[in-house]
Amino acid sequence: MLPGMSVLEKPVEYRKSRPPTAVYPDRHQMAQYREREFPPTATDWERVFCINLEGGFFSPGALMEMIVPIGQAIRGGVYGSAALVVVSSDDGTVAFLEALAQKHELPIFLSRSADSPLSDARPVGALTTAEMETYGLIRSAGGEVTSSGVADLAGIEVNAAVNRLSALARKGYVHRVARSRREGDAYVDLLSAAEQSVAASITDTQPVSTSTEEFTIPQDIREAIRTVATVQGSNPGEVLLRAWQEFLDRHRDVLDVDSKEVRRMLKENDQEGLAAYANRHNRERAKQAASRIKR
Amino acid sequence: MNSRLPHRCHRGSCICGKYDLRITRRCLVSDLGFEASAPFDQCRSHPIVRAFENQRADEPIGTRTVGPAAGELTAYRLGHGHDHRGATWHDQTERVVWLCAYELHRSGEDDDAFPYFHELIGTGSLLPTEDDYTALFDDRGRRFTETLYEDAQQLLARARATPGVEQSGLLGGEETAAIVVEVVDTLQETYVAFSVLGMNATRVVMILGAFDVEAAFSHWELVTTLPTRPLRVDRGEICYRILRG
Repeated sequence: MLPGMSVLEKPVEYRKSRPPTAVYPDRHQMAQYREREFPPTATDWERVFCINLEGGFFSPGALMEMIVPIGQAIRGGVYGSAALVVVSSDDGTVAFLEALAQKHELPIFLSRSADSPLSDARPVGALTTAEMETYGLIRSAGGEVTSSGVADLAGIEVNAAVNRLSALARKGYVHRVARSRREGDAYVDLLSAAEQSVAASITDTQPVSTSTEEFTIPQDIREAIRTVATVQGSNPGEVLLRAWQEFLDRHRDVLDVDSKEVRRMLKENDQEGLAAYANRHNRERAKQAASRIKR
Repeated sequence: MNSRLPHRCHRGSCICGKYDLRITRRCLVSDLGFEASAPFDQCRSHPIVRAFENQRADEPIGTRTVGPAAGELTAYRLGHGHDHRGATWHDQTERVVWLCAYELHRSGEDDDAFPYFHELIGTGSLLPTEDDYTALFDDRGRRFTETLYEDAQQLLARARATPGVEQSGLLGGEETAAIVVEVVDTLQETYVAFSVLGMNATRVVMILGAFDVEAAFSHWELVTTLPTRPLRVDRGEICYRILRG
């Protein structure tokens, strides 16, 4: 860490998001989520976006639709200075994200657990070994360095350190803060900065609008389940069962309460109550259906 | 003369084999002059609605388009005699054929229906709205709840009468379920399998409740197979089991 206060003028904004627990075979659905949660607007302060994939089952197409445009926008500066952390404990998903990051040169960070500190997230993408090493040095130095500091830490020439840091900044992994020639430019790992400025950790990420109703498997699940299963190296039945079981585990208490009320209504032939229960999320479904056909 | 029996209607839907026929609210009120809450069978008094049922009940699309082909959003021409024209759209995702527009027709004259349809396409008001879908889902929810319990109990009675033999049937008019009852000494194992394609959790809670109104949801165990066959996972089929003394 550089001596004194952080070189950043404002605290880093930490934005967490998690798609509702569901199976996502639909790219369009993911595009809507991305546009809603991460509109392409730049700010004059630094930001860290975190997408927690836990609880969701994403087709490769849906994952691409969510992650690639955000990664490209971050690299292109569309969000101003920002970093993207993706949380997934699933080996297949992690491998797919690594491949995506490599192919599309996306500056993203992967975290295995929603409970891990931000600074434990691992950078993936088109990083050379030297750049990866340099990034590790920035982390170990507290998240903020200068080129001369890295040169000292790595035992390399200052020019070489400048080249490595510039490459990391150009690729979107670190934020460069221009300073006077005497002070030298500072290079900031936004994840470390976010952790320090807002004591952030990837915890308590709540779904955007989760409810027991949202585990809806659309009609084209067959293809999606196959695709997800292929990526994860498991069979489609296991994927479906796992998705369903995970949903049940998360919502067991709520489902038991619902079940009690439904059974009471069935016993009493309470048609109005049953219809209200069956239809209670129709407005949301209708909104989705209508948005699907907007030209 | 068409001697075919009319299809069953329920609220705003005419129920065909694989989909419903419905009329968008805009068309119902503005083009046909009915109240927004008019049930489908009442609308049969209109010639284009009768044509809609006759021509679309078995074949969800026509042969001529209204406006340019637009993939899944292509609207099709519906005609009745010389004077009546409509535009329909097959919503495959929600399994509905919508009557989206109607106009009296004189080809090439001021009251040519097609410029009107094209105007609706141009202003984005031809296809169903969020309100139309809400009404669709509400009607289907009511249809489901009206017969669910009776359907489930009848299916269960059949399965109990033939232990070890798979019985299948329709629940609430929309969900097909397979059920097997196995008897071991004084215990009875009931397996219920159904597809979760397009289904949300409320439906699952209701289906299991309808089979056993005394059993809490957590008493049902999610299992990987029916005793009679593997699950059809490619169809999104899951299976629950419950053991009763």
